[in-house]
Amino acid sequence: MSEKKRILLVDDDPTFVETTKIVLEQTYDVRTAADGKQCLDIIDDVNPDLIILDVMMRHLGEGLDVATKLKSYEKTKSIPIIMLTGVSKVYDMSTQVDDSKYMSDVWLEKPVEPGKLLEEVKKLLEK
Amino acid sequence: MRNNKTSFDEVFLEEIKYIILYSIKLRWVIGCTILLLPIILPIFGFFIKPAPILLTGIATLLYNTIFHFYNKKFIEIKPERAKISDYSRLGRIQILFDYIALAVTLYFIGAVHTNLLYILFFHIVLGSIILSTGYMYLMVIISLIGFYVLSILELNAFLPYYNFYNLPITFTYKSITTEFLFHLAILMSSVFIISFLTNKIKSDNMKIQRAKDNLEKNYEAMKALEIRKSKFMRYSAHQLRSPLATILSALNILTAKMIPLDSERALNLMKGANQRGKALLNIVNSLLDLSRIREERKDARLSEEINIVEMIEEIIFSIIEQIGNKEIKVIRVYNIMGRKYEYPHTIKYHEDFKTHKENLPPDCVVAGNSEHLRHGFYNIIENAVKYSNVDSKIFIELFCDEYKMPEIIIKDEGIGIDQEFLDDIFLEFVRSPNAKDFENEGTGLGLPLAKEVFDEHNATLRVKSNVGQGTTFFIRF
Repeated sequence: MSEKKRILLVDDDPTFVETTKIVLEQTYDVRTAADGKQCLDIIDDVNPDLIILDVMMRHLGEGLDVATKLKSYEKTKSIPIIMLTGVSKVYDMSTQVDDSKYMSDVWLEKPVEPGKLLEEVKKLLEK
Repeated sequence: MRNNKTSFDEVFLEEIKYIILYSIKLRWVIGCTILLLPIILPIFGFFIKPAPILLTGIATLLYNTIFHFYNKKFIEIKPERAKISDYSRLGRIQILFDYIALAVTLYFIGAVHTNLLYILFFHIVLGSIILSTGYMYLMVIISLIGFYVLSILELNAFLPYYNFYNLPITFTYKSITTEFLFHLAILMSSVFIISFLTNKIKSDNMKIQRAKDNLEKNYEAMKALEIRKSKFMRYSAHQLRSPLATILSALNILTAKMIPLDSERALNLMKGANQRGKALLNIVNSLLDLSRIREERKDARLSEEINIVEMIEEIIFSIIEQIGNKEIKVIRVYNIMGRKYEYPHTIKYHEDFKTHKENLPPDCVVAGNSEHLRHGFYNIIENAVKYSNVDSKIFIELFCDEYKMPEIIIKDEGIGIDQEFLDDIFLEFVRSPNAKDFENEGTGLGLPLAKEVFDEHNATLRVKSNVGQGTTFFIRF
């Protein structure tokens, strides 16, 4: 029996974190962080198989900054990332300097249908 | 990218460039024509000495070649850096050489005493347009003096006289002098008129260019404003969508019964969603306030007399519960007309504000919109309370006298603002990260609104702060 895959969920809204956790916890081991800094602090300990990041946390684009960092570290660069955005990918990307490295990862708009979220997570984990 | 400011001379740069370069081309034709004169003129019965004419024609073509290569090598090689002075120089030299060539040609045709002198007129016109007036006056005087001297020398047989019409010498000193003065008058007037007209055209062009530059600047400013407005709308939508998404997600989970509805977890979820709903409402209200103030600002009705001291006291009184809960001391010092009025104690909760109002110091009044101004002060004072720790102090100091406009300082010992965000703190939705940690509720719209209000009243609003070292706001009317 293989172990449950681990997902790190990073979002500053505790209620949203809770709802997402409820959706995922049946199938996965869910850990959470409240902001980018916390995420980077615990990333080594948690060692997730997938990361779900909110684009905007305490300040504009914090999620994108974290994603860039994660993609640059040796240990974490292969971990797939799902970005959650409150508006749309185009708008969020235009506020940041372009980094097409994570154009290929998944962008989902809040609110996310539970079914869709599980589907995307499953797709990324199977790769 | 071209510098937006065009100088007076540069207004004509394109035209001058064109004329000077075109004249080089034209000179090929003229040079060849001069060479052909010894053949053409005799056909019409005019007898001239061919040798000097041919020499002049060849010389013309030669120096035109020099101009041509000078242009190619020195000017066209760096078109962006070619300045008006480069072209002026080339123009001046061309005109000078042309003058000499024409003069020589005319001399050998004997044209000093015929109307052919007016071939030179062409150069006068051209020169007056593209070169400086002074230079052209000089050219006219020098060339006419030259002809005058030539004529005298011819008259005294020191120089051979080449007669175009093959007629005997008939001119005298008197006739030469008359001709000289006549030509001088006409040519100088021509230079004057043409220069005058040219300068007028240049100055009109200059005005048009300036107006155009101005319009462009305004257009750029408007475009920037449009972008700012659009960004604001986008950020607003973002801020609204986030809490809304959370509420819907929570309802989704509950209606799908993904967790038992009577569980503690479900209850917490509902409480959380409720809280997000309130936050959303806060943002909406703040956005409406901000928009309203921005719209009302346009009418600029600064017609009410506002007593600042009374306003500040009333604000403190209105949030007395918040202040009391945190046991914060709000110490007010009002320096009015050289006297100091200190209020070290907060108004007692049960005390009637009306009574308190009667005991306030004399007026310190500004003209303005009281509703807006109250909102502005309220946001700043409330922030001081919101972001202060329990049992800390807030200082409000006012300076007001007949010599200068009122100044207010609002200082707290609270959590302070992160330096990185200090420059942007008056922008919509910007919140220092430590603010969010300390007090989750907060829209990031309070300070933008205050800034808007104080701008409306022509007051400056500045802030000094450091994380953990409190924040001070300076308002100067």
